[in-house]
Amino acid sequence: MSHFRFHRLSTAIFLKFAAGFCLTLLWTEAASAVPSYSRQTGLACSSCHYTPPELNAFGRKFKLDGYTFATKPEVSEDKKDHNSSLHLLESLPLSVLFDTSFSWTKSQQPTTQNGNFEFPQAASLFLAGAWASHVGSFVQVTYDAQADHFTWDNSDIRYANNNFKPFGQSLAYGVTLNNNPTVEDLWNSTPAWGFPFVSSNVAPSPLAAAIVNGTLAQDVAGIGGYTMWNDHLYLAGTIYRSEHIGGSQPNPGTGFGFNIRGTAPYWRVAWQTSSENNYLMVGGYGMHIKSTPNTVTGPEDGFTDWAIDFQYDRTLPQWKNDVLSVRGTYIRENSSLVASAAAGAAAFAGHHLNTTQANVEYHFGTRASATAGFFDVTGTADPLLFASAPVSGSANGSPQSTGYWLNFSWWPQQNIDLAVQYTGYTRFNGAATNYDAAGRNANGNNTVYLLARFIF
Amino acid sequence: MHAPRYLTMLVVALALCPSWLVAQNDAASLFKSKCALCHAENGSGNSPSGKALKAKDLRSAVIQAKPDSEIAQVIAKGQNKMPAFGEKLKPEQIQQLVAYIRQLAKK
Repeated sequence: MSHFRFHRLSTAIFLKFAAGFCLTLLWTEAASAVPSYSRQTGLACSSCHYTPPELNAFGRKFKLDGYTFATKPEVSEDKKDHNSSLHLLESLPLSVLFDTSFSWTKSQQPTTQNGNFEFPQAASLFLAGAWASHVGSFVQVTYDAQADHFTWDNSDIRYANNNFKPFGQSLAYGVTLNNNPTVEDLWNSTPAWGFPFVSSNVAPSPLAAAIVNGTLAQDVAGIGGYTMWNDHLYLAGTIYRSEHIGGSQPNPGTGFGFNIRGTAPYWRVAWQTSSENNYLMVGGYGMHIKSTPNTVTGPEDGFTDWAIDFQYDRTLPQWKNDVLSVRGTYIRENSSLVASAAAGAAAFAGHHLNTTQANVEYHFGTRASATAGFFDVTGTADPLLFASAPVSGSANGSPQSTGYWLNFSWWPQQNIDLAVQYTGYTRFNGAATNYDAAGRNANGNNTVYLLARFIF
Repeated sequence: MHAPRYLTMLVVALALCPSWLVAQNDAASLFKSKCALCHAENGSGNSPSGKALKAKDLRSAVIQAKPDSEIAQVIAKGQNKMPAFGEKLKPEQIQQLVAYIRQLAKK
């Protein structure tokens, strides 16, 4: 589901935000399994993924170890005396993604055509693989057909090591540079890699989203550390600053809804355990930011997100090792919108937002998957923050949106994804009927989405 | 009278010992970087990723009963989900790994 948060600025700024966040959301969900990893390791996509982009235990370990595991030739020289070593892949780890899609909403958006064919919806280039013996990357640039340009997308460059064993137990650790809170995560219960893995960038999407739920994707840059102890306990933390792609430097803040003051910490803790056919992860994550909309001085808005999540994967030997996955997350956001209230973009300072998402997915081997999920967003009503507007606004100022997803994906080959998805809304931006005061009902945004994805 | 002979043997042993240790360390390091991802550092395959890919227990009687040449061939050419390392590792490195796998069973 795509989300974005409104701050009532000028119309021009608003449009820029809307476009920017829509693109952000598209790209957040655009990444998948990356064939250059397959070329580097000599392993099929299915070695790391149940179905892309969902990581299995080997895929999580590959990411934890910095995307560096390789079985293919490299240019190398060992460290000797005062000379450094070199471990360079013989082939540059490049991959290409091409998405083409069709979107149809139950009610057409006023003055626009319904039934939209995008060719492409997006196309991406990846630099994904080992850069050195302990350094690797997932770096993506994406072309968006609506914006008609390439821009920087999800990126995670990391150093990883596991060369000492405190108390006789394994310890993997590393450093990550990335541009999207949770993109460094290993699981599919957190926002960057969460369900739905593909979605329309044409259909209307709800107004409200928590900060950690994709709102800052590709609009920040951060450095962090992580560790996995004894294959069970995962701890990670990153601090972020605003880094507006396309914005001038030094950052004046103008035209951007979130300008981080100081640094914004992100934290993550997870505990995992597995047996022969069962895997369970339970964890929590969160983020705190101080921000000023449209400037870098003056009063600040504050946001604190606390989230819990889980992932359970059950392998079914009696069904040819099909895998059943259940995932979910709950995010509680408390915010104090002092700057927005002072600017007239919020009616008052104190707000909260509750986000619940869960889904269950059945993987038919690596050839197909069927998923059902639901989402629910509730929070403080505010007629200025969630203002009235045709299609995208809220007549009653409520951020509440509730609905469900149904998705079926078929992989005729491991690098070709043909998907059909239905998104249904029982409540959209605060109401089931006439939610925008322009006569549109929540189910008018119900969307049929068809996607063909090729990645090679 | 026999002292010089013993002395020679001792010198030879001391001379060989560091290289043997280096070989062991190389093999251990190689195993850790290339094999432990799935087979675990003790060769058991009892790691989360090993369970996911159903990696073999290298210490088991079934594996240990295989001749060195067959183990080396699996390392070089891969088998089932195991990737081939023949392009990445030199033949002598593969032989070091075979020897290290033999050592795992004795630990």
